[in-house]
Amino acid sequence: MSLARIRWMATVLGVLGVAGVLVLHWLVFFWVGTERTMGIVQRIFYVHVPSAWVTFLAFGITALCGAAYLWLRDERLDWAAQSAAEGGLIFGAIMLTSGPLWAAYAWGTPWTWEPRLTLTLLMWFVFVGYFLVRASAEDRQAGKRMAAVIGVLGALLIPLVHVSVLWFPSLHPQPVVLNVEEGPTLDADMLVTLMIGLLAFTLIFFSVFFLRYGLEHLRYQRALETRGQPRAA
Amino acid sequence: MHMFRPRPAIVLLAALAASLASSPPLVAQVGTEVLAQQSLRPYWYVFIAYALAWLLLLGWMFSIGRRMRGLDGGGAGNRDA
Repeated sequence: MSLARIRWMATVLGVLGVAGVLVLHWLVFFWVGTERTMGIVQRIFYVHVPSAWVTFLAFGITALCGAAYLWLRDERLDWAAQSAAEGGLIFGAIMLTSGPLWAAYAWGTPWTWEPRLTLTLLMWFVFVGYFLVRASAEDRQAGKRMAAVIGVLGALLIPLVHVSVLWFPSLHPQPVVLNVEEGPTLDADMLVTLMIGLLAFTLIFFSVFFLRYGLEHLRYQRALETRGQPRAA
Repeated sequence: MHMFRPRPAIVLLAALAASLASSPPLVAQVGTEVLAQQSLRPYWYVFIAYALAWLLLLGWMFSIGRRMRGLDGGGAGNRDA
């Protein structure tokens, strides 16, 4: 894929994502009903859950591309893996800041060391380690391989984070959309707003993911130019 | 004689304002009684949560843009290739 095409895809997805985000904000602040028990603060839900979804998606992509890189040793897979991992860290930071803000009001404490919160924080730090390993390895290729292994192992926490509220019920609410027994338990207006949020955040993620991938592509081209080789397509 | 011709941007803003005004605002949904009992604290939590989200995202995009400009300018970013 050429750099121009990557940037074109990033732009198209970005425009769609921003449009989705504008619609999301209108829905959140002017349309959706207020939840009875928690009140206004429950509206953090519409940024917390989509950011959690994108975090899992991004770390999943990192694991898949990392595993494929270990097998095929194609540099483009490594570019995709680290682009997704960086996005996962950003959206993970959004999830890990919006959650405690919501909890501070709803639970009376921003943080408890209960299984879901602890596992999520652990997963986020595993992916911080992904970048630390890359940056600290003397042999760049070995660093990429080690990071790929960390990405695969870190993503094993994703299903654990999901089922942790089912296996160890605690303060964190049970799933309200991916509820196997009852189906979605949200009111229709809340479900619509959440779905728009999921779509908008996913589009924004893929837009910036392509930008980040384009950065690695550009780095590769510059490296080839420095060595006096012709540009890659 | 000079005729007033509204610019498209003004028309768009007016349409947006009318649309927002015609939808039930947050305050109206909650009701004045409940609002009287609540402080502004939850509104601050919501505002901070959304503001932090967009700051982090914009920061990420800005960081990528800065690194790209660094490479376009003849680059120090060859370390990973």
